[in-house]
Amino acid sequence: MKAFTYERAKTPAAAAAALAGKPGAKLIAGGTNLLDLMKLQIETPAHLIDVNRLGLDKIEPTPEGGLRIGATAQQGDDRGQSAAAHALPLLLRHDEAVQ
Amino acid sequence: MFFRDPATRRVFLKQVAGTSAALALGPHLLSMRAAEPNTAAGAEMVDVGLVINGRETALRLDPRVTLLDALREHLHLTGTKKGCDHGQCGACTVLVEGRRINACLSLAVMHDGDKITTIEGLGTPAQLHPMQAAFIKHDGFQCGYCTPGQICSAVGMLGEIKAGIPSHVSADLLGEMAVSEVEIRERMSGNLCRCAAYPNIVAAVREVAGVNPNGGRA
Repeated sequence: MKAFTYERAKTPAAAAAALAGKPGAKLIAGGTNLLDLMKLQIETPAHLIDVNRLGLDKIEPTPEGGLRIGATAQQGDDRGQSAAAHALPLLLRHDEAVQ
Repeated sequence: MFFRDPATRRVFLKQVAGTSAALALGPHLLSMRAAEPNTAAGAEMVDVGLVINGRETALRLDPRVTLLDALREHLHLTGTKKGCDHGQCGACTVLVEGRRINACLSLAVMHDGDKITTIEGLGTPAQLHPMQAAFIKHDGFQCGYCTPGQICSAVGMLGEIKAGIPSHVSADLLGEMAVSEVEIRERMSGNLCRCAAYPNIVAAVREVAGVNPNGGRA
């Protein structure tokens, strides 16, 4: 894997600013795809911005009866699972298929 | 390497012996290597605190170090195994905040403050975790290389069923999940066993889940 610098972004704005300001920067959340490609040197980012601590991991029902799914929400997240299941059961199947 | 000329071989052996002696004389050098085995010159190091098997651990790492390499090479917790190093075999499965992940596809620095449980933290030889005991009872392994990952994955997987998270083969998305053979095989499909101990792994998982052969609760 090629060397890179690393930072943990604290807010979405900070993550966006870092992404725009640093050439060759990439966002990393789970890492399943990106790290695999970095090991093969298909991806060689100069800078990684960790977006796991942005508070975007919530799944919440909206007043209209829909769901707001955070960009870093994970399947099987206890905090949102029951709400998601009861609002849109097929979503769970979709998540499983995507995974 | 070929040694057609005996003199060349003697020279080589002398060089090896000399190198070993130099290493023996330099314990300071050795300890530095043990602490930072994967560090490239000039790499920008990152501080990370991990809670591993209940113990707070502070590390200063090259950001390229995966969680798997941090466990094995930096902390010498070699129970977690490196199989493919590409997230395809599951041998490196550990529990992070109770959720199973492939430690090879995650950077250690991404887990600052996270609680990580490895096979060493699940149980000890004197006090086995029920899943470890069941794998022994049911012969859930042959060579044993995939076993730590299988056991961590099985523990995480039963937690997912308990939380009501459906799998691709679950008939009912909202009801109670059955711990059937087909559910176990689907949910454990990320952990490969080249010895093909699968029938016995399924038997071990079913015993811990407390189900009878028909899939209902025992």
